Amino acid sequence: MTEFEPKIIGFLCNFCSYAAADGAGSQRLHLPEGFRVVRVMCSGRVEPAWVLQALREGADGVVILGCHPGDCHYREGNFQARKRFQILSRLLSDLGVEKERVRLVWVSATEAARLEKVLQEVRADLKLLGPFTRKGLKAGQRKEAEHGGKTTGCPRD
Amino acid sequence: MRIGIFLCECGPNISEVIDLNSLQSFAAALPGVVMVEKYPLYCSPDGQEKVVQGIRDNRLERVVFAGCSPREHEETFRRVLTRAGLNPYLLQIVNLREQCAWVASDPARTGVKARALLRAAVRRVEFHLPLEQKEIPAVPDVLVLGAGVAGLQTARLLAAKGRKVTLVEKQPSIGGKVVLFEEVFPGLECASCLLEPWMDEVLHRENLEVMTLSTLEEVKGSLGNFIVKIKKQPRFIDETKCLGCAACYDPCTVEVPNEYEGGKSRRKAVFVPYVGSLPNIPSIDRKNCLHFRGQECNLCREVCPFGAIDFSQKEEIVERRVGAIVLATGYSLWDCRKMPELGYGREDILTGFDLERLNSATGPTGGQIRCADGRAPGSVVFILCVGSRDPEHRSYCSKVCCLYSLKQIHSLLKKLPEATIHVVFRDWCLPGKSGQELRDGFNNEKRVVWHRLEGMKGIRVEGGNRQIKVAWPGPDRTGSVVPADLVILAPALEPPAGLPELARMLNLKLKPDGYMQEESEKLAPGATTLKGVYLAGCVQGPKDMQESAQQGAAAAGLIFSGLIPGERLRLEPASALVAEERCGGCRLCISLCPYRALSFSPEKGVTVVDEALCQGCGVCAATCPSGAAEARQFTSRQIAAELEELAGD
Ligand code: FES
Repeated sequence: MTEFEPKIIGFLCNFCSYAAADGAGSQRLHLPEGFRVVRVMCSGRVEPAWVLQALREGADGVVILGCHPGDCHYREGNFQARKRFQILSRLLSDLGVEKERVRLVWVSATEAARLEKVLQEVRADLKLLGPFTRKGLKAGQRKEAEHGGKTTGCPRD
Repeated sequence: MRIGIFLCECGPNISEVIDLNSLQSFAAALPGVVMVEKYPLYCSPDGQEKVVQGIRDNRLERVVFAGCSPREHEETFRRVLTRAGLNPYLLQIVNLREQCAWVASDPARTGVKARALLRAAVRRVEFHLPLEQKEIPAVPDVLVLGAGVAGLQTARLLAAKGRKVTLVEKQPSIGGKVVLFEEVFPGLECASCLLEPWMDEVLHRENLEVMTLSTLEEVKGSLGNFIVKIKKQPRFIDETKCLGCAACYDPCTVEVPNEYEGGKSRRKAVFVPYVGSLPNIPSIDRKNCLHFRGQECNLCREVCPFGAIDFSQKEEIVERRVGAIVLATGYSLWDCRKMPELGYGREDILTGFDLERLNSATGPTGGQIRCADGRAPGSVVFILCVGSRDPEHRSYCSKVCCLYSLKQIHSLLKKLPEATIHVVFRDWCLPGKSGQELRDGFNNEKRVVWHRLEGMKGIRVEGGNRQIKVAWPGPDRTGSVVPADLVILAPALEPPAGLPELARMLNLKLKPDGYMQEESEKLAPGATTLKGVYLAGCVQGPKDMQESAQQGAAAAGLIFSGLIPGERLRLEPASALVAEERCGGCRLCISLCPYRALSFSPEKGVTVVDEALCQGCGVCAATCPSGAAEARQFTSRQIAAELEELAGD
């Protein structure tokens, strides 16, 4: 069996963190092979449901990366992201998802090296935790049905 | 669905890291894919032609391009799609170079990653929507707020090329603070002589409307289509009738200190702020005027030969449609009373600004430097950096104080041949090509005594009544004391009063130092995060006259290039949309929209999007509890499709 390589889904905003990931490439830094990016215009676009879906579909961890507070291209999208992340974190801990699996980090366009470091840390943590078993998330889906709201559950069709 | 994939080798950049042959055969088997092609460099003219051909020959309905980052060539390939007759938004880019090949360390796993990225893009692109590039008409007219150096510059340059400009000034006269200065550094020219041609130009252009005693009340809309409301205070003088003959001043029996000259002279209730102020039309100060205080006084009205006095004028709200707004509201002076140990407010303790008025030939003393009791001062002490570079007050360097203080010292040496001048300072800030010269001019001057301190803490201005002393602690605790007949403080510049309200009105941010936040401090210091709103002068940070003139010109330039008469404005195609049938009217999204692009339609009972304002950030979509709000190029369906494939092996 090959060694466990955690899959990390990243939601990256176009203006800072996605640019940093491009910068990591231009500088030939190494990002974990399991790191796969969904580009969004702003971290404020990221729905908590997407994070749950990513975990359900096979991710071992999720990172939401946005511009530093005050630097959001759309002024305050990242503040919304932060608020939503707080709600999401509570839900995730209810579901028994370890908090190391889902993170919100601010990365500016020039912080490619920092991005590399953050992702290597995430990878190391996930390697310690092992693959995500998704057991808890089934419960999550049930919960979502009870709440009936998309903001806490899986994506709508 | 007919999906085509173009795999770019990017020379050796991608092909040497990722096995594109095996990726090609993998991709060919994906659902919906009817074509997979590979080419060394798709962004080259030949490569672009290949894509056009590929789309046409295979009658493609969707395109996936795998190569460099979308930040590099998304626009290029959108144009290619358009050329091939396909809607440019039916494209998804796979970032195979920057975020896959270039960050790779393990070839086997990189291959797995490339396949996942490609699968996700193919799934996603199926749900892409053809988006429409909408255009709206735009008004080329401009509102300039503030008629100091920066605002005058913007207004006159725009008007000279035929733009209709509304120049709004809160004070009764134009020219800003600088017009009150006797000489300006470094060349020591007279400021009003420099500015008068500009002020004349601005006051006499047909396409330039000057509104004094006016402030901005409300702003709606966006670049090209702002509707602004301006509040105009009554002058009680009919500007169309008054010739500025000054006949009305004499009969007025009221006399109060003139706030426009720091209270150093007196004025009537019908007055102009200072000699030579423009427009040359007085105003009536309703607070002090006897007529308004309920007395039977009509003296000015009786004497006016032109019947220009009009007590019935009311405050007015005037509406204008403009395409752009320039904020040039200047600065305020830091209040030296916040450091009571410096004694500001007592006799013979002045700010540099007060000194400008004493020094001015048209000022209260006719340009003579005198103490309050009329003596010529024998010892003048300048204290620099008052409030500046002080974490408790204004932490930044105000940039102009060193230079203007040196300028004032030059002037005082000439006017007071007997006096000694002490300068209490910490560092010199004399940048630029002529700043240092101003300082070097004193190298052999025995009448100037320099007191360079480690810091500005602990300075005290003591005594009064001809017995002023300036004292400061020394590094060895000895300290020093010098006698002073006149003390001149150089206060910090600070953001203009009312700036937070203005920022709120426009939905703009202030920086932690309180000045207006620019789009980019280095590359776009004259623009703001709101398209169509520009900055000029000290509203963005302390500046001298020259820099304010430059930024005023820059704002005009930005408007000339960004708002062209007759040209329509292109809207963001990837804007938000609200599905009316799903919207429950909860209005959660409305308060979160950073661009105020959402509003509630009471007739329909749902939220509606103003596409002219929407920038497509998607905050509304992420917030909507019923799935009615969507970001067109980042719909929940598109992202869900992407996620279905991305996390797999
Ligand atoms: S654009 Fe980066 S967080 Fe909003």
